[in-house]
Amino acid sequence: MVFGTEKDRGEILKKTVAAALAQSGALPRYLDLPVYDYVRQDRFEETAGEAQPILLLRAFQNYEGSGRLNTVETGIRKAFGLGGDARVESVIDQQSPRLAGQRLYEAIRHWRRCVVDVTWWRANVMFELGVRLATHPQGTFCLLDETVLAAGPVGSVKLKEFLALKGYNLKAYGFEHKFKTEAAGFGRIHDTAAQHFRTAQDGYDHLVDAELVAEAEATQRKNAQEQVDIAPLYGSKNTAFGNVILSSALEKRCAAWCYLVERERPHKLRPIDLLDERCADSFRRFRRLSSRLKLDLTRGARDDHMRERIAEAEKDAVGSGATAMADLLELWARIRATPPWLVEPPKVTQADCNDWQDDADQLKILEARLEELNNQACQLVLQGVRSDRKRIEGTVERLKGSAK
Amino acid sequence: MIQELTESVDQLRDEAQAARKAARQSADPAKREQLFASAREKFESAIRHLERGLRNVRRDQKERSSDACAVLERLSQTYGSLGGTLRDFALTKADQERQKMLAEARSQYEQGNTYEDERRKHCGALDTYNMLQLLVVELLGNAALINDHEFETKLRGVQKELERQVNAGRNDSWALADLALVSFLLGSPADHALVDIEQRNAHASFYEATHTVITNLLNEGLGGGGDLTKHLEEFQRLLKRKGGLA
Repeated sequence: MVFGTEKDRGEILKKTVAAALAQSGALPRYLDLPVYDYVRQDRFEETAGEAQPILLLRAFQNYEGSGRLNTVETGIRKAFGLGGDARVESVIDQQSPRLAGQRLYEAIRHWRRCVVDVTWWRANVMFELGVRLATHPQGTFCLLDETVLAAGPVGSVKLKEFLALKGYNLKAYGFEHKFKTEAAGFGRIHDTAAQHFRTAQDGYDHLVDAELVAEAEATQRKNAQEQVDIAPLYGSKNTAFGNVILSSALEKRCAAWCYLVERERPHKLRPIDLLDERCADSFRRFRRLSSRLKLDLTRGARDDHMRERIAEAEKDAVGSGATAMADLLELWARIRATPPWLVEPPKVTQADCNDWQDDADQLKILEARLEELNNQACQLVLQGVRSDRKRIEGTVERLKGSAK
Repeated sequence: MIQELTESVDQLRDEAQAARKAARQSADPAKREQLFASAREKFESAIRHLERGLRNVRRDQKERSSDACAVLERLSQTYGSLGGTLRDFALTKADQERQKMLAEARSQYEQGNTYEDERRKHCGALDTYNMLQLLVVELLGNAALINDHEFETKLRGVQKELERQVNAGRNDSWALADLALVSFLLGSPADHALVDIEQRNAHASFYEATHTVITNLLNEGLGGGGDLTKHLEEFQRLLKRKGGLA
């Protein structure tokens, strides 16, 4: 990637990270963060107990030619009190059809014993050590050969203390006596990560109906009427497969609607309930899903039943006044998003003035509805609506003569 | 702001399309009238929101932006849908009332095509919906136009634009259907486009909408039983079968 100025670099990086986070939140199969995904997988190989190998995280270059690997593996076996046939494995030692990354991070998270040789302070080894400490609270030991050039000067004293490094060198065989205690701070990393982890990152607090709708939308982009072709691979070219995809998308939308109506009962909300943003959001989702389903449902007993349920629920929502209230509150939100009184006067057109006058008239209706509710909970909203209406009327009055 | 606008407009458009679909299926004239009126009102409301959104975007942004293109896309499509609704409605009427409504439909397609043209020129959009439907609705008002030289020139213009878009990579079902229809109207077969439509699978709304247009043209006696009629009937059968239409 070619960056321009330093300011550009910052902006590009910011936008890239924001896009990555947005996609990670929206797409269940987002894979730009593979390790994030790998460490969330359950173990594939059930080997446990003493038969489970010891994971060795290390640099690959300069390791095998000098006899270092043999020395370190032998030392590790002795340190854990294991026989000569005990397995000490790095990811390249494993024979498996699975991706190396999957195997490595499964072992990092799930294996009981892990030894990390930080000699040379390689970035990939340090990254793997970080993942290990964040995902496994114990059983991690760090080695360092300080006789190797570049092993010593790198890394602060505090870091070395924190890692409780076990020194070794190729001339002194065995370091079993140094494996009796673990670094005191390692467990704290896992505990801190567990305490402060935001569950939203893993999608556990997603709305069930919204997830179903998102899955249904994977078959077609949002602009449903014009983009009619089926997106999944082979879906457009294989009629039988395409029909299964379409049917699955419809059923997911039906399931989303049923879930929403049964669990949140948005059609039973009263106008005053819509002042609560969570209720308003639930009502909005209910209306959007109902509209879409009315369009997608075809003829037949199953679909007719669903259509009748939607009609009844919509009738309830209209009858209680909630639909009209939701429309007025959405209009007010739109006004607040682009307030007329903040528009630069030279840019105002006559059409703008007419629109704003219509808005003011609608806000008057909203004020009347809120007054009718005669509830303390409405007072603050009522003040806001009234104030905005007056500001709009003032703006229109001020600009209507000069508007283009 | 644009996302909120497009989401609320999409809801209105879905509701309008659902009402239009129900109107087409209704056997009760009074109910049909009411449903068409509801569809029209909702499309018009969506257009008001979008035109206002476009003014806001243009006021805030000096150059034509992706936001403006997103609003223009919805606008041209919604005008097209409104034109189609009025065309469907017109065909349930007779004589002067029918001609009056077809003229209204034409006017919506014209406005839709103005926005569509802006998208083609400035947003790189590959769309010809309003451009072709404008001519279809003219034919529905006066089937004799099929033999008119000036009308043929207009059809050739649409064909040229469609071919340009297909060469630029457009490969959606609407393009194939438009290509087939314009070829038939120009007296040529469209075997390649029909084979492509036969081999693929799209959402039901595509088959319904295209089938309605072809049926309307056939009902107007277009082709007088000759090759054009045969081509249109073949196309109609394909759409009916693929779309599982009754």
